[in-house]
Amino acid sequence: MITINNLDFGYKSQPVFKNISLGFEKGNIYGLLGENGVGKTSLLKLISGLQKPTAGTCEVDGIAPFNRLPKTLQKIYFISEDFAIPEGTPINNVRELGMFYPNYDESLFFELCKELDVDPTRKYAEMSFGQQKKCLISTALALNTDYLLLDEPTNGLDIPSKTLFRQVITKHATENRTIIISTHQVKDVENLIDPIIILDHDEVLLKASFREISHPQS
Amino acid sequence: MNNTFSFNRFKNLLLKDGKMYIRNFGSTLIVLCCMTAILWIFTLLFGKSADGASRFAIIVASAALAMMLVPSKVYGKANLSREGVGFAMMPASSLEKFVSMFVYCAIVTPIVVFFGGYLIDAFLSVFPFGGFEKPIRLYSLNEIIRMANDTEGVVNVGDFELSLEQVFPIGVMRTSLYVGIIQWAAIFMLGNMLFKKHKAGKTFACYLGIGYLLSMIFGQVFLTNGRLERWITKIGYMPIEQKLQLYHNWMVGGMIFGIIITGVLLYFTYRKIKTQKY
Repeated sequence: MITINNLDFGYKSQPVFKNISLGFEKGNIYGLLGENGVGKTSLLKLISGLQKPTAGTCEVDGIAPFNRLPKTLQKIYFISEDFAIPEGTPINNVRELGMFYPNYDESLFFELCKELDVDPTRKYAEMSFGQQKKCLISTALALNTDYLLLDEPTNGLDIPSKTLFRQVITKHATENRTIIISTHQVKDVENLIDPIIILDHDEVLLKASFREISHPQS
Repeated sequence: MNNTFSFNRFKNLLLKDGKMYIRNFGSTLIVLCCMTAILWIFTLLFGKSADGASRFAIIVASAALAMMLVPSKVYGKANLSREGVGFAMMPASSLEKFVSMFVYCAIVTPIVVFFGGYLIDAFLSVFPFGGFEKPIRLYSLNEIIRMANDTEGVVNVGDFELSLEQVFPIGVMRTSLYVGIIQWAAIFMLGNMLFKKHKAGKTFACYLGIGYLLSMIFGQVFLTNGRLERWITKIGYMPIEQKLQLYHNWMVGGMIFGIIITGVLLYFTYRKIKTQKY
């Protein structure tokens, strides 16, 4: 479980979060929504240990991710919106990574590449942006981490690929896995995410399931 | 699970980094190993010969250059906000990442360039044409000191003739040499983690700048009010045993200072790996 308590965070003089508290439970696909610049990517970076809170706590299974302990890192995989293109081919890349992730499943990787219609033996550098992204999504799912953080995953994907992406995520979402999808294109993931979290400047505007939103009295 | 250091995880990291090392630095390494071959071609073109000392100096310079370049070529992305995410999120401890970086930058690179350079030199010496008359040997430390001081095993100190070993304690010299090699690597490892662009160039510029600044400070301390002259005069009156002892003490002091500086540089590199934000 991911718990965020009274967290403050900002870049130099610009505050991003002020005293926010949130929890992410296992088995859900969270949608992280909000305008550009409200801190969606920053929140994902805090959860993945790439940034450190200025105050408060952010914990993944009781451990601060910024400590970057191997046992925490092997539970998290983060695909950033402006990801760096890995060197070589997807299959070599996932094999190199797979040595560090105890639940890595190579046959699942091939299955996912097939489902997403990408060739894992072709070099990343020779692929289109959408194909690179689909390979990275296959890599992320094949590593079988408990927490999967996807920053704007549908950006750069064509309409059939967006459909494939939704199918793949739905199929491989398990009760042990928490997926957090940050997006400002709600339409791409509307049937996928539940609950949703809406961030506004400095704060969490809403955290609720679709059921709660549809039946506010309950 | 050991979150500080696991040999199995470290082995995997060494393998992964090794692939990256060959991919990103392999061609540069080959070129640097072949620097004596370039000299050999020049000897062919101009009909001159190159002695062992100059060929040895070229190998040393190539190794130094390789150690300047290797951190940025292999681990250059480690502190970049976009490209460094993979390095930061690799499920290995900061210590394992640091040690793996150290192995490739401070141990593998100088060994490969030294031995690669020697092998190529030995190969080229076989040809009857060209300016390499015979292969250079792997010099012992004594021989290096002898070459550096242009002496045949005897050092004159005032009226005394002393053996090389009396003046240069071999243990201290050997340790200082190894510390110097590791310190050179440590400087560029830290520079690689501090600078985002032109890492090797900026680090070298800082190295020269700090060296200049320190020499100015020491110059101010020792050269004002005739301190240095008084000191030299004082040493001049000392008996030879005391002079040697003083010289040895300086060497040991310099070595300890070098070890401390190297330790500090390596510690800051480790801290930077551990606390880098992306």
